[in-house]
This record gives sequence, structure tokens and C-alpha cells, in this order.
Amino acid sequence: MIETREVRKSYGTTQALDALTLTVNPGEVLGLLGPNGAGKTTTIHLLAGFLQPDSGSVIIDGIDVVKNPDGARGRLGYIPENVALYPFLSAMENLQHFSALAGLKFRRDELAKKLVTSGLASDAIHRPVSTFSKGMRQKVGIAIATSKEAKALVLDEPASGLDPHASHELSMLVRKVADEGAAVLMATHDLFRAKESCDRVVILQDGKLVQELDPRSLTANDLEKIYLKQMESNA
Amino acid sequence: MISTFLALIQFEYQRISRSTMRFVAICVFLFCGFYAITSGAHHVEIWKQSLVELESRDLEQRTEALGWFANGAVGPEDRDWINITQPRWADRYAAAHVAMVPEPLAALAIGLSDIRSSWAVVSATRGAQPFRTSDPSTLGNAEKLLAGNFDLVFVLAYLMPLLLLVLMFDVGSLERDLGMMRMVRTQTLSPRFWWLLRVSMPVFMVAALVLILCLIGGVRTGAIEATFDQWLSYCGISLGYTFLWGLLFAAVLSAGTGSSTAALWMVGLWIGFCVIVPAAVRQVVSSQMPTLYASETTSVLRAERYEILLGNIENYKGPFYAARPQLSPPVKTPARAIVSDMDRLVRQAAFMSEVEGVSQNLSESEVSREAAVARFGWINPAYVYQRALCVLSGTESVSYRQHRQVILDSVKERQEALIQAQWKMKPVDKETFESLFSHGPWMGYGQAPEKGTYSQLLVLAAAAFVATGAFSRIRKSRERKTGVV
Repeated sequence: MIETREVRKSYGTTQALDALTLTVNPGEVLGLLGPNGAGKTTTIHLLAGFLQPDSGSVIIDGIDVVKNPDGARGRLGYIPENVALYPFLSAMENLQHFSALAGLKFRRDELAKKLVTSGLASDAIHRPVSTFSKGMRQKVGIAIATSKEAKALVLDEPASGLDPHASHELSMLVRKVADEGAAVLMATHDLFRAKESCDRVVILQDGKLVQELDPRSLTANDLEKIYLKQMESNA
Repeated sequence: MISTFLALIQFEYQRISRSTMRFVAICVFLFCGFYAITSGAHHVEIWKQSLVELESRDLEQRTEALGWFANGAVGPEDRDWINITQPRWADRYAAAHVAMVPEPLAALAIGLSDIRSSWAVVSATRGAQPFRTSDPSTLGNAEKLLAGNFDLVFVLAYLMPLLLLVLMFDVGSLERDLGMMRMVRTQTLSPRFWWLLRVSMPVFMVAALVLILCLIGGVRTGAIEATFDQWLSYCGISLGYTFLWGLLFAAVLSAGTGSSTAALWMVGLWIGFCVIVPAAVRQVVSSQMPTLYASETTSVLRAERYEILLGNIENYKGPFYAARPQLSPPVKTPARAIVSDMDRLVRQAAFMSEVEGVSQNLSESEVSREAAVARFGWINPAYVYQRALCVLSGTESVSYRQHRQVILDSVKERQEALIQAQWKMKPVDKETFESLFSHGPWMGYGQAPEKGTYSQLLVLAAAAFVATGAFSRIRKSRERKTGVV
């Protein structure tokens, strides 16, 4: 489970998050929508322990991120907007290295399977990642984050810059991770993907949660209309 | 933790083996080390050869003279003016050398030792020469005088930090450059442990290379077998110096900059501690206490020697007899030749006093300069380290000061023996002649470095440690406020 309770965070005089309360249950994908500067990335950075909240609490699988960052980190998978990898290592070596850092040891065939499951072509597994496109790196990043079999997965605009096919594959993968029992929080601008993979969608603006929606009951067009209307009404 | 440790060992191997720059840097470092050991061993070999020649010359001369005593002769048949029973000829034929023997470790810290005197003739009539270099040609070689030899200490003091820099400058900062630090942080069980391991691995690797060079040097020179404790100290001090640089570079990395900024800071530290500070300290100390070179001292002594040799003998007799109350000026006028020989000894004794005075001045000047330089030791690690190993290896000025004292003592001993023999006006017999061979031991002067050496290096290490903690705290605070990792 992912939880934020009355979380406030400001950068100087700018209030990035204002009493944000969120809950993502196991097996659920929550889409975090909002314009640039709404507080999506701040929320994710708080969950990952990169930032400390001014007040409120951030909890991953029952563990307070501020009080026990190492414990919380062990239960969290994180995929940034741009996955960067060690350029002199192959995809498999990167996965092997990051898994080992997380205290996990896999056989080579298991590593290969995880990469293929993440959508990476099998002939790319042993190539240095310096030759990879953004989409391919993103897939390796997903393999790294999911190999932890973490209780919580946070994704910061993971489909940004991906082609529609890769984006769709990513949505399916996220769905699969959630179906396996993880709580997934995904910040995104892509309303179509949010509808495709999320169980719930929340709209953030100026650090506040302004609306919560069930995307399954809406079409993508409805979702876009509601989102735009919300933006206009708060402008 | 163990899986992190093993993963990082494998990662370091991949990082280094797949980087041409790092691989070449390691090869160049090792090559320089091998060359320095070989070069040092070559210099020591020359040093040892010269001692073997001296020993053989001494033995040959002694055997020849003792042969005359055995045959009832007083000199060679073809040179009838030589009379070994007269003190001045006995001194000439008993002339032996007092030598500074290279310590086994000398090859690993040869420094400037080949431009200094490692031996001297012990003679009461040919003048003491504690400042005369064994190899005068090198004194004229200004470049060599300035640069010293390319020895292992130089490689470890000045090149080792550069290798460490090449291996360390992008530890953590590469992750920042590529924007992957967030992923590393969320994947790693303990980011602090990860950082500590990442930073310490290149340091331990360089420490291992340093140990390999010390081991090769120890085997090549026989130091491990001959002076194991000193070799162990050599290794220990070198490892300490390596870890000191590791700490300094860790302080830079803890600030959390990109790799280019980290590299520039590290280069700055190297230039500061290996070039600017040693040069500036030398400059400041030299401006206050000009260096007194042995060659200058020799020139001064030459002038004084001629003055004494050509001066009025009566000026020197007073101090001579005053210093030796057991002797008194002869009442009867002895033979002309004996008077002449006694006068010669009086002049030599006067000159000896001058030599002692100059030696004292030179030693005091050196000690004062070294004390002045040592005051800056805590910001001058390369100098402190280099000096410590040279002291340990018996190639530093402190060893030469002790050697000079042994030369002076040996010459004085010879002089007093001859004065006694001359005063008795008895022919020198075989027993007296043999006693003239006793002189200072042929030995090395390696010794433990001054205690201050360690405390100075420790002060800098403590400062680096505190800086690492402070920079790390500032970085964390900045990251938690801004989220910029």
C-alpha cells in the first residue's frame, strides 16, 4: 500500500503540495494527472525518499519513509521519466547489477526472461545499453524496478517520449505488476494511457487533489474533457 | 550487504576493464613503479660496487704494508724514502675509508643520495673530507640536483594520487551526470553503504597496486629478508598515504558534484599538495634560511685549509697544546724531520677544528631548515611522506648528518693516535700500525621516521574526514530540500 497523509511540501515560498492525502491499495493502479508544476514529481520524490515533507507522513507498505528510509526503499520500485543505465554494461549486466544491489540474485536465464517479459527484444539483451533507444532503456528500467517484486511501484511519466506501441506495452506491464499484488502510482500526462491502465485517476493542481475519477466508467474523450474543464476552472 | 559488496566488486572490474583510459593508467603506473625499482636498484648497485672497490683497495694497501713489517722492511724496495715506521707514512699506508652502506630499502627511496657523499678517506694528514661527494660529476648536473632520481617513493608520492584520481573522479558523479542516481538510491538497500563501497574500492585497488610494487621492490632489493620490519613500515606508511589521498578525494566526491567538477577539484588538490605547497614551503623557508650546499662548504674549507697550511705555525700551537694537556711543548729540540711532522699534525688538527665547526654549522642549518619545513607538514603530505620513507631507507639528510659525524670521529681518532705516536718519537710498530685501521663502522643509517610525521599526516586525514562528513551533510540537506539528486 502507498499512503500520503496530509503531506505538505514547499520550495521557498512556493507551496508544491498542500495537505495531500492519497491511498493506493495493493493490486491497484492510481494515475496521478495534472499540469506541469502541479506536484506530481514532488509526490513521487517524497514517496521515493528523495525529499522530506514539511509535515504529514509518507508510508510505503506500512513503513514511514522519513523514519525508516532504508526499510521503505526495500519495498519500493521506481521508474523515472528517463531511465539512465551504465552505458558500458549490457542490458543483462545492468539488470544483474541493480538486482544485486537490491540483495537479489538471479540466474542468467531468469534475468533474460525478466528482460523479455519487460518487452526487450531477446537479441538486445547482451548489447551495451549505450546503443539503446529511450524505449529500450525504459524497458530495462522496468525490468530493474519489477525484479525487486516490490510492494509498491512508482512511475514518473514513464511513457514520456515512447512510441504508441511501446507505450501500450508499458501500460500492459504496469497492469500486470498491479495484478500481481503491487500498489502502483503512476504520474502521467497521457490521459489515454491513464484510462488504459489505471483503476483510479486523481487530478492534482497547485499541490492539491482537486478531483478523483474512475476511468473505467468514462471514455478517453470524457476523461480529457473533465481534465481540461478542471484546469480551466482552477486557472 | 554481501551481495552489494560482490556486485560492486564485479562492477568495478567491468568499469575498469572496459575503460581504455583506466586500463592504460594502471599499466603506466605499474610500469613507472617497475622502472623506479630497477633504476633504484641500479644506483644502489653502483654504490655497493664503489664500496667493494674501496674495501679491496684498503685490504691491498694493508696487506702490502703488513708484508713490510713481516719482512723486516720499512717500505717498498723501489721507494726508499717511504718509512712505514714514521707516523706520517704509517697514516698514508693505513689510510682506510669510512663508508655509508646502503640500506636494503635504499633502492626504493634513492632520492638524491647519489649526489651526496657515501664514503670518505680516514686520514690525519690528508685532511678530513666529510663533504666531498663520492661522485663529483653529479654535483655539476644541476638538472639532476633539482629533480632527484625517479625512485619508487616519487612514483608513490606523486603518481599514485593521479592514478587514484583517474579511478575515482566519476564515482557517484557518473551517476549524477547520467541522471541515474535516483534509480541507484531506490534500488540499493543502503545508499550510504553503496557510496562507501564505491569510494573505497578504487582506494583499496590502488592500495593493492602499491603493495604489489612494495612487494616486488622488497624482493628485488632483498629488503624483506634483510630488514623485514623496515620494509613493513615502508608498506604501512605507503598504505597510510594512499588512504589519505582516498580520504581527500572522498571529501570531493561527498560534495555531490558532476564528474567534470569532481575531476577538476581532484586535480586542484593534486596540484596544490604535490606542486604548489611543497614549492611554496621551500620558497618561504629558503628565503629565510638559504640552503647551505656541501659544495659551498667544501670551497670555504679549501680556502681555510690553505690559510692554515701557509700561516704561522705558532698561531696554532697554543690551541693545539691547550686542547691536549697531557702533551706539552718539547723542551729539547728534536730532529728537524720530527719537528716538521709534528707541525704538520698541529696544522691538520687546526684544520680539523675548522671542519668540525663547519660541519656543526651545516648540521644546524639543515636541522633548522627541516624544522621550518616540518611546521607546514600537515598541508605538505607529499613532502612528509617522501621524507619519512627516505629516513626509513637511510637516504635522507638525517642519515648523512650521522654519517658525517662518524667520518669526523674516525678522522679525529686517527689524528689523536698519530699525535700520540709522533709525540712519543718512537717508530710505529706493527701493533700501532694495525690500530690505525680502527675507524667508524661501515653501516647504513636507516631509522624510524620522526613521530611528528605520523601526526602531521593524521591531522590532514582528520581534516579530510571532517570535510567528507560536512560536505555529505550539506549535500543531503540540499537534496532533501530541492529533490535534486
